[in-house]
Amino acid sequence: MCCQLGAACGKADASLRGDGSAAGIISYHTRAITFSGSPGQAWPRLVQAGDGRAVAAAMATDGAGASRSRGVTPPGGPGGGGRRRRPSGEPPPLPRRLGVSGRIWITVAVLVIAVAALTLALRGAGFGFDRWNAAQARGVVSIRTGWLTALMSGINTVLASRWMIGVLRLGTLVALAGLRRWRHLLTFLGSVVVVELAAYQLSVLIASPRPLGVRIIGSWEGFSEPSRPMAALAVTLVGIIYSLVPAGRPRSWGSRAAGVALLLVGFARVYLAVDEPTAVLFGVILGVAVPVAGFRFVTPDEVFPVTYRRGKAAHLDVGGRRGQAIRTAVLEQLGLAVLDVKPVGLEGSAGSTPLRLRVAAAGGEPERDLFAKLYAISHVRADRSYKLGRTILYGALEDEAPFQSVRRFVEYEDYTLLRLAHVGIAVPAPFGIVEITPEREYLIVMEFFAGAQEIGAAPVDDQVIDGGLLLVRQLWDAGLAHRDIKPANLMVRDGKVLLVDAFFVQVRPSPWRQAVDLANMMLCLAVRTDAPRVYRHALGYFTEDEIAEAFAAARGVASPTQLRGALKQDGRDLVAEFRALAPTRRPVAIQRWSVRRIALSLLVLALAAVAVLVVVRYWTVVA
Amino acid sequence: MVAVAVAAATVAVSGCGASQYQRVSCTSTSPQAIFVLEAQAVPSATLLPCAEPLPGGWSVAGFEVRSGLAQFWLDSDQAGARAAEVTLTQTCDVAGATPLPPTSGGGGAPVQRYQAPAAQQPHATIRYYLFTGGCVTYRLSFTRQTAPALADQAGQFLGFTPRWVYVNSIRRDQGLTLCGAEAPPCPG
Repeated sequence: MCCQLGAACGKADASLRGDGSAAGIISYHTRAITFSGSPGQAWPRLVQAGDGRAVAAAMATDGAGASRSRGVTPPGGPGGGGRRRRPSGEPPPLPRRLGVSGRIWITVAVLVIAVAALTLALRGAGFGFDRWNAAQARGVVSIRTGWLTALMSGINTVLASRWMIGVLRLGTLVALAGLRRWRHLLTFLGSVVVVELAAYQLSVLIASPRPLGVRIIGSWEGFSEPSRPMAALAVTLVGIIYSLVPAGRPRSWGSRAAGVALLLVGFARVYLAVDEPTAVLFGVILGVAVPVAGFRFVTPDEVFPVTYRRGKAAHLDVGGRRGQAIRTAVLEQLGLAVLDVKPVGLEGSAGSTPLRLRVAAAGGEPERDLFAKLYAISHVRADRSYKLGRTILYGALEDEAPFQSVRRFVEYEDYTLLRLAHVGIAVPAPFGIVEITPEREYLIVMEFFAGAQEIGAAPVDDQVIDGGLLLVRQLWDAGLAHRDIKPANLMVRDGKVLLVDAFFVQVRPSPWRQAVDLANMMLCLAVRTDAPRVYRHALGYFTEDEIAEAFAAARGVASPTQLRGALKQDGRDLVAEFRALAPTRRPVAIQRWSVRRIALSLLVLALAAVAVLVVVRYWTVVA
Repeated sequence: MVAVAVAAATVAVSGCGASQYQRVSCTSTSPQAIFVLEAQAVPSATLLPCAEPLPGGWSVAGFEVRSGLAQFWLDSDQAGARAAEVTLTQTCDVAGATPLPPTSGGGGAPVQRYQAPAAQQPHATIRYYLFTGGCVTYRLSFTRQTAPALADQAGQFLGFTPRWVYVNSIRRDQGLTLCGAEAPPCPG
């Protein structure tokens, strides 16, 4: 059965025929697609595709025959329902802005570089700075009085001492290790080492004496420019703020407190004439700019939030400018009026910011929820480092290439959803990609499985077991692997198994990957039932040898962390039970070696060795 | 990112500056910042220690200057690392040390010399040079008995520059005062 339509319809529709088959058209871009379905087919089969998005919409009709594809239809179709093409020259929904602090720090850094270069190149310019510094210092020391001197000495001794800074640093390292924030810990350590080395080498290079023309009444060490104690204090305080204080209001207050501390110590050091004003400024700039750049690059809040509450990351900024940009962009690009934007399921997502969008009733559709994933450039960086680590740890079996841009991220997920739908697998229908900031932030919007339960909480009967196993069979037959089969990605609604999170899907994966998908699915099902029952059902879709291969492949890291946790909590050794049921087969080796893997491993080892040597060499400097 | 790149570049290129010897050379043609810093470390000292031209096998290896102390040290290809150490402080404890014939520092300022008894440091030679407002401790990691040739060489390294040279230089070039001995009183 098949219906076929030509030119752009301006809306999509999929209807259920009297015999239970599904047929319809979808066209919310400019071309039409056709699909057909027949009784007993879980999903409409695509006959001809003009625009892939439409295929996914068709897929939204689930096996029970209830069409959900109407929900895919953006109201108004092309040019309607609030859709609007952004004209050339008009800024995107969320124009790229460095932010006030970013602009300030970059400007200051450039200025400092220019001034330092000028000072080094022209002796006279350096003398000019000395005279200016001396004039400022004379002004400050003119207010010296007994009690103020004691106070300033106390501030300098307490806050800028190596002892205090060492205690703060060691405390931070211990806290980060205890919280297992290894990335933050390494960034903190790296920032400290870089700042200490840079401050020392710069001071030797610039070779500026202590303040001239005023009596020095405090203790000091080495050349003055930049001020090493100020740089040391600044990098420590900023490191603490970025690694231990949650983003948002707490970090804002923390930054202010650090600013006040730096201001006090800086003034005290000028008052005591141990530092020149420019040395204090230079030290602070160095001590702030390096960790700010380091933490923003290596541990962006969107991916590695600092939070002390499970399941919530208060830092996520889907309010304010970004929230408004999401509303505007979804309306203009998809024609959907967003009423509310809420982060959802953050605890299970490090690769994106998952959101639930509440959209207004339109085009005959009631007010409803949609699911969306916000991808930013920071997620691309995290994906790269994740894959680098996986390649080194597990080798060629992880035959995956890193993405080069956020655009490729969302395009790939859009494609995989459409691909899965195309082969009849129940996945959320993608509504399309929304551009928030060109090349930096994109949103992929898809169907929200309202009323569905995670398989870990849903009743699992024979129908669900068959549905899960059929899903893997369909993946195999289509030459696909999901690569992240775990309870959180398997939803159950009306006895049907729905698959979510298609980001890791791979086309033409290695046989090992496909085998692992089967094992993970069987384990997900067995956790809720028992191994013999799942095994019995599996024989209806797979041969004994295929099941044996699956459990020969599924070892250790092959299973997602959440599934391993569920197995551990269950207590039964389900893997061993399945292995006992299946024919004996030698384990499939996970570790595979390649030239690339060896080269990457050697490179990382060399870098790690250098880092360790630097830390050991400068440990006294760090602590 | 700019700051990180600058910091990394600085670390990488900072070894391209003047050699350690040039920094502490008594015969350097341009005023070396290290001496100004030495003068600030011990503002009462009227003489600042420096290194005379070194014979082959010797090199200035490093220096450390902080309030109250200025120090540089030399490596020897025969006597090893830190074979000679020169330390400027405001005072020295010369109790028990043997007086040596006095000498004169740069500009003819009188310098009293002492040598620590061998019993205190049997494998090292320690000499004290006392002058107005300061003291230089000269420590060799060998003795005349263990390395006579090196001891002869080491006797020629240590030189002094009068503080007023730098006081005048800074006043002339920058119009500023290097506070301390040989300079007018400073505010504060």
